[in-house]
Amino acid sequence: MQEKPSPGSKPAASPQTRRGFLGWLLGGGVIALLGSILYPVLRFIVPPKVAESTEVSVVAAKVGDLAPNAGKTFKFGSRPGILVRTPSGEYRAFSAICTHLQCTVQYRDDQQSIWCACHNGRFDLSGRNVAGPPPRPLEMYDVAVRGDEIVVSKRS
Amino acid sequence: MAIRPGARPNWLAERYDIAGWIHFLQKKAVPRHHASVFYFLGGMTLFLFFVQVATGILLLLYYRPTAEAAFESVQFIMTQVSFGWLIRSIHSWSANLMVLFAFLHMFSVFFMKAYRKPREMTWVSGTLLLVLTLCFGFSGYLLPWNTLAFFATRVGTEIAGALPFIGKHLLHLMRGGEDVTGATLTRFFGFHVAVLPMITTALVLLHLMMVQIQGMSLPLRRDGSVPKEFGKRMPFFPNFLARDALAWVVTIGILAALAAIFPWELGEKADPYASAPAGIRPEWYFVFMFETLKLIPAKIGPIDGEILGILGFGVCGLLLVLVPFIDRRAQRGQWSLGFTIAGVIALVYMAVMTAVSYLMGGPK
Amino acid sequence: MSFPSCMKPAARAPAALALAALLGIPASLRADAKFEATSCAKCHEEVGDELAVPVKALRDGDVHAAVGLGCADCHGGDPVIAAGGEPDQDRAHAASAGFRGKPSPAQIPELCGGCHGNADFMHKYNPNLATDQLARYRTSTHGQLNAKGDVNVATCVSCHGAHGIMRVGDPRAPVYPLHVPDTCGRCHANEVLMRPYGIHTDQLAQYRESVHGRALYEKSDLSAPTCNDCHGNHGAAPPGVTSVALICGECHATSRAFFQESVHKEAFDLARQPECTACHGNHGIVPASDSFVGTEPASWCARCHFPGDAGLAVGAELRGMLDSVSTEIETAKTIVERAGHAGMEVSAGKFSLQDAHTALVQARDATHTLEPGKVREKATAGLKAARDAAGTGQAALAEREVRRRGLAVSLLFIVIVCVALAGTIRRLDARAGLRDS
Repeated sequence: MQEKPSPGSKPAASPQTRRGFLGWLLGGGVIALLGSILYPVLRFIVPPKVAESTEVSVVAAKVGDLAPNAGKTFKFGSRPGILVRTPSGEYRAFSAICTHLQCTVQYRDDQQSIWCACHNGRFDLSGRNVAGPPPRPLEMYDVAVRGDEIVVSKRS
Repeated sequence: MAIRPGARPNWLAERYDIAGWIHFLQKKAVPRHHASVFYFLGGMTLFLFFVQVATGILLLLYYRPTAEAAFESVQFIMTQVSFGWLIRSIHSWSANLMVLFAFLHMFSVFFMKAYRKPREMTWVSGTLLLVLTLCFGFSGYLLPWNTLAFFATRVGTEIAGALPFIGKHLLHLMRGGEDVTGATLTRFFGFHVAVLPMITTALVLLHLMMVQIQGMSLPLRRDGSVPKEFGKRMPFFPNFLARDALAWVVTIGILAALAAIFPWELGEKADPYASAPAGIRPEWYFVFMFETLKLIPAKIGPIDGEILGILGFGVCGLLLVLVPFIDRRAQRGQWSLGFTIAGVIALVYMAVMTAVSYLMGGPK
Repeated sequence: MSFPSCMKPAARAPAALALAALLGIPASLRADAKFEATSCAKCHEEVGDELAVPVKALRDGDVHAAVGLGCADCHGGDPVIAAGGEPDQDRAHAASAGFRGKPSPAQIPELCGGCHGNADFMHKYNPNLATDQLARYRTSTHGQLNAKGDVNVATCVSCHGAHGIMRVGDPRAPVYPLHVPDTCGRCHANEVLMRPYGIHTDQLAQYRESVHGRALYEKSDLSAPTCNDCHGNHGAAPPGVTSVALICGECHATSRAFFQESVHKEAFDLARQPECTACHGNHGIVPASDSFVGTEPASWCARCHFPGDAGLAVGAELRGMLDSVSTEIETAKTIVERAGHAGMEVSAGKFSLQDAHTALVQARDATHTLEPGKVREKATAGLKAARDAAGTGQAALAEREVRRRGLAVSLLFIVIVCVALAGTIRRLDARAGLRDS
């Protein structure tokens, strides 16, 4: 029921305008809400740049980065790995965590072996512990060359 | 859809004879009384189920169901995929909320004795849906393949294996072998995304259809009467549905807030050879059963305490499903004190046992 | 005095051999086949008490018995029992059969060395086993005293046992790495035994508390040095002043190399101070700590340097660098952990923290050069890695803020929709005639 506006006061909004306003508010709100739901969903569906988890496989280096008889450490998930190119040119990859007291190992081209500076432990190019305190070989990873990328992945 | 009379005939009506259905839906009305608010619980559970299906399908785009890759894939979703944290956290929170609302719905229907004639089969399908919801929770919990889930699954399947006669076979079927391994994970995944959804969808449709056809029940009062209604019944379309929508929008807000402020933890990758961490506990909705089994004495007479406990819960479950057929008084339209008391005891028992476990047990 | 007749069925020995043949194990490799059949074993076991102990020890797992050697191979005498007869002590202990009885401490080294020092002979049993033990022993303090007639000093059997000898790799052997300190300690921790030599007896106690001892006993790190790793086992002697660093340097190669190029090397040589042990100690080596370096009275620099001298200033500088890296790492660790607990991705942060920690270890090692430049190199790398880690952690926490802001925006939309819905509900109710209740 429409009321007569009393003198001196602003006219109250009519039910029609209220309904219209409500309609706009609801419609607008719903569209905004649907947008804020659809936006994350659509972004989710688009695959991320790194297609696979770096815990399982990672690009350790590009072909040509490493000369024969050289090595480099790389990030594998949250742990260090070491990529080694043997003097004969073959690629090998291991966990860079020394099996003695978990220091990070490094490649020694003068000894053609993997060396741990902490207590002078040494591993050969197959990861076997050959000198010093380390009690076990280094964990070995699979290496595959795809195009110009060297991909290291955990052994299944 | 031409709902209002006098509106121009539309494309669908010209092709499909749905006038009768539309008329029926327009007639659907919800009674209004002091306990009407409980009528929302079922729709809430259904909404949360839809949220689970949607977020679950999205997670399927990235999840890998093998022991080697499952944990890493969930970690990938949480850290690398855009809004992966949001989808996964909503899925986990909504799962828990769905179980909660399923229980609330069940208890409210129970205390209002809505299971009485003519709604017995609605109740039966409902209790089966509750069991399916718990199965969803149990199977889904293992999928991230973290330490807690691994050991909780081992304990849970161990308990199932303690049943007499069928226990060993049941254990093998559930685990896909002797022990919890990658085979268990793949199997649980199959249950979680295919078998259970299929059965649940069928039962939900049945359940909804029966509710639609029979309309809402009125709660039974102590003197056998039904509450006084506040006048005209509320049309389901659009009044009740608008209220449902409001509740659902609020739920979306709550889920978003929970996901953003309390993202679901990932924990550590399961190591089958490590010893179980202290304070292993299943999900909260199983805790009351778990705590009961822990507190039961090792032997009651000649019978093994644990087996008695498991059988006890099994019998309770069976009784729950068969309540409409056991509650003679309710069948006759009379209020049954015994059943109400039993319900209160059950509710209190579950709450107390859950509290005891969390207050006395180790850190989760 | 004639020996009490041993009541053993005459068929026992042939039966044992037959059993061995049935099981397919060569008779010579089964201990009981050889030494059990001797008169020594039979009599000594029957007499019992002390005299039976060697029999039980050989039976339990003795490396000599396992390869078919028996009592007479060391003690001489005649172990054979006449067919159908009883063990005869006179025959067994006959001097004409070479019976030696219990060898004296002076005789033992040559007795064992007679086989173990003969490369040709040992080739038959274990071509890879060293044959220089006797020669080394004679260079050792133990060996020299033993040659002079000291009967209390260690001989072969003191460490290896006489009967029931087990290989070094056997966890039950007294010379297994885990047991070596206790074996040496049997004499060297005994006040009464050591007093005549003027040797102190606190080494074992000190070793147990040391970082090497804890590594051995608490972490079961069998590569941790025990007594023989520094002193030698057969050629046991305290390392000389110059050889200490070489021995420590077998594992701590980088520290030794750094020290050799430092100014301390010449100073220590002039002062006739052993290189590593002068600061780190020998038996009671404590875990290294940054507090060793610096200007506090309790620091190691202050042991020789005076306040105001150049050396102490270098110590202060080195300590400052180590402290700054440590603090930076701690800060970064806190941030990364906080972000990780909030559910954010921090693997890059953890990786940088590992790098930072490695750099800190290398910086600490480089303090042996006493050159601030070398230490600064590593310290800078450590600081950078720690700051990278902290940066990752901060980024993760900032991302959390972004999420909350996104949440706020969507909650705003939700509130708008709820308000609109509430209004719509009122309107619908009014239209349906429900609002008059």
